[in-house]
Amino acid sequence: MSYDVLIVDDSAVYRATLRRMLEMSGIDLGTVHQAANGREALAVLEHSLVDIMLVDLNMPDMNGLELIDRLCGDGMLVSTPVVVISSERRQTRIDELKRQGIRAFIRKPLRPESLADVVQEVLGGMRG
Amino acid sequence: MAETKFETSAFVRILEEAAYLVTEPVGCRPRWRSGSLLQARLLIGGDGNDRPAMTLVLVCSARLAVEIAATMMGIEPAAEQAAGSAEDALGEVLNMVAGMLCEEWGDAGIEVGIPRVEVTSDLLVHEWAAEQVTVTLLSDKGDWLLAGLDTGDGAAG
Repeated sequence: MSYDVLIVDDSAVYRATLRRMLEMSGIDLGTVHQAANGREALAVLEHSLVDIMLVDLNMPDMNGLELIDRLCGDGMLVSTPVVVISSERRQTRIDELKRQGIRAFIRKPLRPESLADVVQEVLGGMRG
Repeated sequence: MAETKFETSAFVRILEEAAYLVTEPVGCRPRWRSGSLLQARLLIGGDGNDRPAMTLVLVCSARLAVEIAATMMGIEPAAEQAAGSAEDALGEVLNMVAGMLCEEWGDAGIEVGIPRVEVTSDLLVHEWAAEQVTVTLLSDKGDWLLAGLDTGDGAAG
């Protein structure tokens, strides 16, 4: 089974970094969608179902907090796991995100093996 | 600016962890080779308490910024995509430095802005305020970077 992923980060460099880490992880990737902010992510989700979302917080237009609020309100956080990958390090904010229903939080910069472990765990421990 | 040592170590650590660029602070001004510089700035807003707004600044040669981008993306520096991503990469490095500083300061109310990166041949494009600290970092490849923190009136710039 392959997994479709949506990477949401305003940095094209970091989107490419995460994509490369996923490709190296051994996880069977399907389509890797990309979005530069929350608004673009919602546009992708209108047309595509994804298995997991990797979401940055600090983005222009619609940031990650606003996106997660929106997904939470729409009930999508239950069906589509969200992993937040951000430079954010304040525990109070991270705890709040976890209360909202994100599955995991990874701090930037991250190691490829950290991403692989978390994504694998969130997807149910299945490798392709 | 009692926290200068920690701020410097945040730059050093993020450059190493995110871009695999080993640097160390040196006590002299950077000697720039010919060519353009990239200057990244990131405003960290005050939390309404003790800490004022400030601007993080990172300056390096455009050539080094391309190398940083290439390393982060796992591609060759000569790749076209690396050259087009240099500004983005430098901004992302500053974003990570800001995250580390916010954690250290423990201020829940601080907001981090969006990085701005300019190409310049003039190190003085950023209008430094009176209260500023700059640290020259020398990489193991012989490249210079200038890391700075501006807490004065020019912080919003």
